[in-house]
Amino acid sequence: MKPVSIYKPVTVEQAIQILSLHGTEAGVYAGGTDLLIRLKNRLKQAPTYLVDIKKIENLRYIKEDAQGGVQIGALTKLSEIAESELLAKKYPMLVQAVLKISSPELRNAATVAGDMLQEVWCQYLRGGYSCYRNGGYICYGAIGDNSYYHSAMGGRLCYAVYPGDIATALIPYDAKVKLATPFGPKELTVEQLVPGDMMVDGRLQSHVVRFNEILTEVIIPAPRPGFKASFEKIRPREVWDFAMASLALGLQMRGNTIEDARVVFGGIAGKPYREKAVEAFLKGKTLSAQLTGQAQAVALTNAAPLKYNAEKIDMAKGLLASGIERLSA
Amino acid sequence: MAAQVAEMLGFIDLKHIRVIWGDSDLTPPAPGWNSGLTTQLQGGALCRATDKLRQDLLQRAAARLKVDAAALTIREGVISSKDNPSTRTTFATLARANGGMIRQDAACVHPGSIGRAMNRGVGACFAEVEVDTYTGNWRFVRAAYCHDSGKLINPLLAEGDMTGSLVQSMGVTTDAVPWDREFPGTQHYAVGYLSYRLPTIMDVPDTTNVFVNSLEPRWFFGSKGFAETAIGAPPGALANAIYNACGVRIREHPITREKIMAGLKANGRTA
Repeated sequence: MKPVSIYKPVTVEQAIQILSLHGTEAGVYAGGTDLLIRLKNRLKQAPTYLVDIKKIENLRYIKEDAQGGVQIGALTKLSEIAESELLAKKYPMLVQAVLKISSPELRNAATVAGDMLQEVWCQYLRGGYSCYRNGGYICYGAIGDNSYYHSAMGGRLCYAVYPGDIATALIPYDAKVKLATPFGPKELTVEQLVPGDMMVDGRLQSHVVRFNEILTEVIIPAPRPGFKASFEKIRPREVWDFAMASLALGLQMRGNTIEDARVVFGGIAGKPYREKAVEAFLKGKTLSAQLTGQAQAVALTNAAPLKYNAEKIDMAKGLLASGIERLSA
Repeated sequence: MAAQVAEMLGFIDLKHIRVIWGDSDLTPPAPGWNSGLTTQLQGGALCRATDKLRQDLLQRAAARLKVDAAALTIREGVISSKDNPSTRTTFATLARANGGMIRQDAACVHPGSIGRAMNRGVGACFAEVEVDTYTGNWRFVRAAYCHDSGKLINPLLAEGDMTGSLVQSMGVTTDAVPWDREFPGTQHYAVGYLSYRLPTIMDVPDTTNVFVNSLEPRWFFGSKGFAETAIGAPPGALANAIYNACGVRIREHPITREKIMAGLKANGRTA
């Protein structure tokens, strides 16, 4: 394991001061299910100074606000989301998605913010190859064995897929996140938070959180009546693995008519891939299983699969068909 | 192992037997160890050594008690005359008389070397799968895994061994050992268990193990090697089950969702 120094701040302000002091050498440590593995594998990009935020109080909660929305603290464990009756009642699709994340052991340790901001799981990065994300100037995934964990929708520098499921599942609910920054709190939508591989403070990352910022809260607006959603995920095996393709489908219904739609694919691109063409197609249609063929035809038309991962697109389209069929049943 | 020795030395439980495993200072070299033959190979050497030890003990007891060895019986560490049970001695007495220890060792030939039919594993696997024709995703639902096993020495371990064999076989069927296809020879593709995907408890089907207790007169206790030897059955069973389920014939392992999806598309069977 890479040698590290650990800070244990007790307030968010202290944590931000420490992060500001060390710059990109420091990293936030909460659940550790991603960070500790990067340290153990001695990745060059792993931080040297860990800011353990677990001692900070009031970051671990699930509470309902006056408008009927729900706020989830950044340190909330995935298992707490999975077991929450409030969330199961209001946002059942989010709970379904969380239950499909890795294994019960990891859900007991991993936090909601950590899941959204996790590093990609490309085997070349994790294997210590000197890629864009690890201090080098090449993407091995783009030219290498890219069957499972690489983008089939093109990329900029890094071709690894964004591995998180929570962000994918939150987008249909139009959720937002709150960041603590040295200049006060900041709110972003989940789509703005994870736009795919971005150069931020000289580092390539999937999210836009800067070195001295901390994600503190996830805010989900009140569920609207007539909202139907489903989450499906295909992974190489049934636990302990990441999505080869996943789909979070949200339909705002009025009677039998689709008033608004959210179609978000996970596991096929460097970000949760919102397919607006299908959303536009579904809008105003009467929900039925007859829509599946046409929806598939307009979906993912700008796919750019790599050598070994063309089937991801077929799987994603298959998920779209089965998702629509399931919601129309 | 201990059960075989206990049986031959006349003990009804295992508390007098201690198995020291894997200490090559104590044990003679063994022939190739394969085909689920642990109980036959190591056990065979052990049975032969035990048999020599038993004969040795009987000879010593016969000399000590001045009785014909054929008229002696061994039970729970006590050697006594069949005609007159009060004429008796114990293992402990004999060992003490020999300076504290009586030792015998033996080696075993590979069971395969004494006849072609001996211990050639005969097994079969029946598989039930579910295929999602939208996405090519599939699930191994149920399995019946059978093996001609001879006499089972330890049925509980045998169950575990068969299940292990099925899981191992299923692992190699569904996921190739991940050598990098683009940078051959540089590095194993697998980063820990991230890409070297061993099947998990969620992937393992409901399994019924079937043992055929056939007659095997040529080996100690009529036991045979099994489990590892039937490992070729599940890949074929799975490929056939997938063909029966969705009409996609996969002739090359591993069986992957990509291949099923490609086959479904070629057959025009996707959603």
